[in-house]
Amino acid sequence: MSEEKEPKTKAKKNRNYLTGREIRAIVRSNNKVTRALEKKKRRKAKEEEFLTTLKDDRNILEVEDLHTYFFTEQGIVKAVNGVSFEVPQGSTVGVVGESGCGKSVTSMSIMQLLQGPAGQIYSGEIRFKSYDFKRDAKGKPIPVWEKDENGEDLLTEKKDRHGRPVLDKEGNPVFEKRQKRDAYGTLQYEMEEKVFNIAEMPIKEMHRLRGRQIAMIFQEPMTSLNPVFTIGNQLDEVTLLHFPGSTKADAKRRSIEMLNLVGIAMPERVYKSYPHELSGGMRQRVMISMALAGDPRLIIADEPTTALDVTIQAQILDLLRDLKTRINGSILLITHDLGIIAEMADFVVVMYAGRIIEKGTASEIFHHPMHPYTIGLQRSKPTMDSEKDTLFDIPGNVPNPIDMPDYCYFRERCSHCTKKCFGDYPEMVQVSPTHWVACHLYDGKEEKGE
Amino acid sequence: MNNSYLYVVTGGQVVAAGILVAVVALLVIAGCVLFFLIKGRKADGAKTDGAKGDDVALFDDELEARHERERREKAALKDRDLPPDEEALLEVRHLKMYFPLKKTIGGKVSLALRAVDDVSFKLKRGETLGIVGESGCGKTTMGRAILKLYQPTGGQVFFEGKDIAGYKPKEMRPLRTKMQIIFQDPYSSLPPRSTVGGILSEPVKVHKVVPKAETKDYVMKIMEQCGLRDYYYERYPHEFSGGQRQRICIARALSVKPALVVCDEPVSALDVSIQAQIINLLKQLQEELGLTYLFISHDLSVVKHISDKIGVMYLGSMVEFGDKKAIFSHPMHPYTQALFSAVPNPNPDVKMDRIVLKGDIPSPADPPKGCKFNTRCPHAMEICKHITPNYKEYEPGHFVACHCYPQED
Repeated sequence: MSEEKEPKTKAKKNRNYLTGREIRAIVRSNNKVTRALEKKKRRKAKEEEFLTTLKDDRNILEVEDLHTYFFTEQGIVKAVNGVSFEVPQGSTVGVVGESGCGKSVTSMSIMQLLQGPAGQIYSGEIRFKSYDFKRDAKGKPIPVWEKDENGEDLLTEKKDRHGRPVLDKEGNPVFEKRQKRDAYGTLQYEMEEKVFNIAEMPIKEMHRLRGRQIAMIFQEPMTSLNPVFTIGNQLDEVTLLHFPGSTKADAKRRSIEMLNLVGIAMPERVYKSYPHELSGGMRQRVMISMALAGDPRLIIADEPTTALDVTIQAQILDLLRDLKTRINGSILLITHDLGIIAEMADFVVVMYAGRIIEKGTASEIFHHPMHPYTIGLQRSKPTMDSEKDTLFDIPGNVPNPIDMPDYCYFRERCSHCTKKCFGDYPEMVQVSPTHWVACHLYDGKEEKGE
Repeated sequence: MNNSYLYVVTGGQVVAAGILVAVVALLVIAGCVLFFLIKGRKADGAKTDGAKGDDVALFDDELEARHERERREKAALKDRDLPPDEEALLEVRHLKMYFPLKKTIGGKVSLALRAVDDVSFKLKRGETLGIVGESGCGKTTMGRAILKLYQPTGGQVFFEGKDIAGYKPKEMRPLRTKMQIIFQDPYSSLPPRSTVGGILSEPVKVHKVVPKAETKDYVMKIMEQCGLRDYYYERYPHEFSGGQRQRICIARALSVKPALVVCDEPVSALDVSIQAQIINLLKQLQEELGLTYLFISHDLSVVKHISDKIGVMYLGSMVEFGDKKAIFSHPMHPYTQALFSAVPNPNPDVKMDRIVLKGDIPSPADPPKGCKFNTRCPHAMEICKHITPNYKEYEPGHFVACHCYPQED
């Protein structure tokens, strides 16, 4: 979030700096809010407090009116300012926007990974359908036992660690139930579906979701892998943490399966190596395998290919697309590259200065873009198969994130500005069942249609 | 206990023992030196690790390597005395830029990183040459070696008909006004402690581009040309956004009236909408001032938009070079084909039949033998693993280095 921490000039109209007194006043008022929010994050809460229901059961994630603020010394940076979107099950949703538009902060909010106390989810709801272990009264997960043909528990002879049968006092062999294992040899437990409101969840409860239900692939594979542990060590950790009862041997078996899944040729060797021994593309593959190790329902890919070369990028995108169908998961893909979005996403969300300005299916956004910013963005990108002499350029810059105006943020750069634009910030207007746009140009049209 | 024995030896014995120790020490030192020398020589020649004990293979490898070296030296020598092309502003012949990684005790380079390995091209006045390739393929190093920010290991660089490869820094000084560079990251390439006016007028003063009294007016004119407002003169770089800073960098490069500008990924650090502004500015300035650009970028669509000629680099070598139209309409080298097919298309309905290359780019310190692309090439043949293909002109102005095409002259 380096874009939020840039030195802010022009905090006040005529001055380039704030006085010490002003900064102290801002810090004091910030502290009041952040302390309360931090306390809320650390509280002990019963599960009922953050259980909700989804608006549409086909979705896996619903974000509604999310506000994520950064409380800085220069003022409140509204990095995400009223964002709502859905991720339907089994689909890829692409979030696109320029740097500083809040796309990464949205993903960080979903994972509750914001750097506190400055970064806080101020209000809003993030509803996530989790598919977690069913737990008994003591909070222990309930195992799935292997059954025979009659539906009764399969009993096998109990053996000690040397493989010898265990005998009871009378010399008879002891029988025990056997826990079921999945294709990767990981122990299975009974599962149930629950819907959590992540914005209200305490940090401790988040551990159940992070890396297990929602996994994240970061931009820089080198900085997000730990340089002092082997790949195997870091991969095993996921299994050992999230699948209770698994042994080190189980974890290793699962890790190697995961490395195989992402197309690494010699998984045994990579398992033993350190991150610096791998190339950029390999590291990103390892990151993806680590994300998959928790068997997640939702993968958040935050600029997964920005640090990679074009040919390696093609490999990674192919892999992600292939994996999505294989694990039946959903992907929230965050990128600034329209080409990647067009290729990968089913639904597209376009963000600008902390707000969503347009959302719809990929073909709607790319063939019938409506917001002037979306149109400009597409025309300003040179493409491989078009011949243009000059590129369309959007004049000016993104507005300062502190002191956002109350009119449309894009007004100063827009070429279709009308009188209406000098009024309030435009509401989201629905132009088709799946296509929404926030622009005054389309307010009137909808009224006529009704 | 046993030490007492040492005290009862006679003088003659002491002398004998001393000589013995000295001889043994000398032998050990000589052994060490010999060992290191042999080791160094081995590493110097062809890689022989895999072929230990297999004398025939060892011989073949060395012979091949020697033939290869001789062939390339011959080619370089043949071109050496050719007069420079008069039409070309910049002509590069067999440019080599090696960075030493390991040295033997004798100071000989035993292992070198071949960042740029035998690159040749011509660039006419007023044209734009786009250099594309993956990271680590040597495109930036080549740009810097041409500007003599690095001292090239070998080859010739003709700038306006003079070979500047051997020039000393002092001799380069007057030429610096004619060749300038724009760097990738506008955040780290501007001095934070001087104002925009200071940054822009320093080169003007140093090179005495205009009389001292006119400096400010001149700088203002340049700023206006680059889309910077006049009141920016007193401001500091940190007050500007990335796009504005890149405009300052462009203004600084143009302030000495250069003929050649090396643009080293000037738009990679910028957002899409700002990228378009900078690209348009560069194009407009080229028309107004008749500049020649060497445009280095990994973004193919940007390079396609701005360039007249395109050079594709892989692991330090130019694999294909030619007119933009020729290269984009029928790329000849398999790497170029794969590179072009890998670019995502911003149209959700177009399903591209993509050539996905296997594996990663090999290390330039230990490039594969023969054609450097043979480890990832979908059309690799047996010959590709042993012999480097010739860099040959197949159509007028369209050079390719690949065994898929006839190699004989």
